[in-house]
Amino acid sequence: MNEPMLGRDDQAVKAAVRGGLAARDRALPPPPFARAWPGGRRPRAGAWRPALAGGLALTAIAAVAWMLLARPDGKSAPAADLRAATELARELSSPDYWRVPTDELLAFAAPPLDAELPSPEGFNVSLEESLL
Amino acid sequence: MPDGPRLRHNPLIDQRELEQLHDQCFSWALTCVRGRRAEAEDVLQMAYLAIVEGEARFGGQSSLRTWLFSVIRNVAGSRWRRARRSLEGLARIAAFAPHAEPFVTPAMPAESTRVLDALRALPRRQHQVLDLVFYRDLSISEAAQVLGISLGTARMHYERGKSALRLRLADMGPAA
Repeated sequence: MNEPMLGRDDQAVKAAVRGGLAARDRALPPPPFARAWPGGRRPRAGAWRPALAGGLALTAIAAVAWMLLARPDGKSAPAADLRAATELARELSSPDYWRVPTDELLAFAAPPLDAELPSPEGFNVSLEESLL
Repeated sequence: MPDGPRLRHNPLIDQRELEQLHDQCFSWALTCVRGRRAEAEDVLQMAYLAIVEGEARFGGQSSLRTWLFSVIRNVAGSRWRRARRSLEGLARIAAFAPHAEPFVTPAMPAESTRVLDALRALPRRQHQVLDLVFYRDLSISEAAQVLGISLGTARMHYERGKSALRLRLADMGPAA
C-alpha cells in the first residue's frame, strides 16, 4: 500500500502545501511550450567555436602552403622543394607537429643557391698576407 | 489520448502529450531549483533537449509524467553538481541556501509565502517528496521512481518531511 493514510494534522499540512505551491505556480506562470521546446534545433551557445577553430586551422595551412609552394617572387618552386614543402605542411598541420621530421624531410637536400659565391681564387691573397 | 507527432529518438512519446504536461513540468522544475524561475526555464529546456535528442529515453515502464519528472530532476541535479564545482556556481549555491532569499512575490498571499519558506527550509529530498505526494498526487512509490531512491527511503523522507513541516508551520504561527 503506497498511498499515505493521512490524519487530520496531515490533511492540514497537505492543504497548506497544496495552497502554497498552487500560489507559487500562479505567481510564476510557465513560459510558452514553443519557447521551451527545442524542436530539433540545438541551441548551443558555443556552436560557432568549433567552426571558427576549423576555419582558422584551414587558413593557417593554406597560408603555409602558399608561402612554400607559390613564392611571392612568382618563381615556381623546384620539384624537390615542392615535395619537401608539402611534407612540411603536412607535418606542421598534424597534431604531433613537434615530433622529429620524417625520413623524407631528413633526406631532403636543399637545391644549390642561384647566387654566385666568391671563389677562393678570386681573393688573390697570398699566404704571407693572410698571416699578417 | 493525444495523437500528435512522435519524437524521432523517443518514438513512445507523443509531442502533444508532452505539451499537455508542460505546465506541470515547469512547476516541478521550479520545485527542483527551489523556486528560481530563470533556472527552472533553463532546466526544462535542457530536459526537453535531452528528450528530443534521445539522451533520455522513455521506455514505457512508468507513466510519461513520472518519467518526465525524473528527467527534470536529473537535469536539475546535474546542473547543481556542475555549479557546485565551478567558482561561478558558488554564488548561485549561496542564493539557493535555505532562507538566503525569502520567497516573496508581490502576487502571493502571506500564508502561501510562509508555507513556501517552510518548504524551502526542509532538506531537498523531503521538500521534493512532499511536493510530489501532496501537490501532484503521486504515490510514494512513484515519488521514489522520480527521485531515483528506494521506496523505503522515500517513505522515510515523506514521514520526516511531513513532521518537520508541521512543526515549522506551528513555530511560525499564523500568518500576519
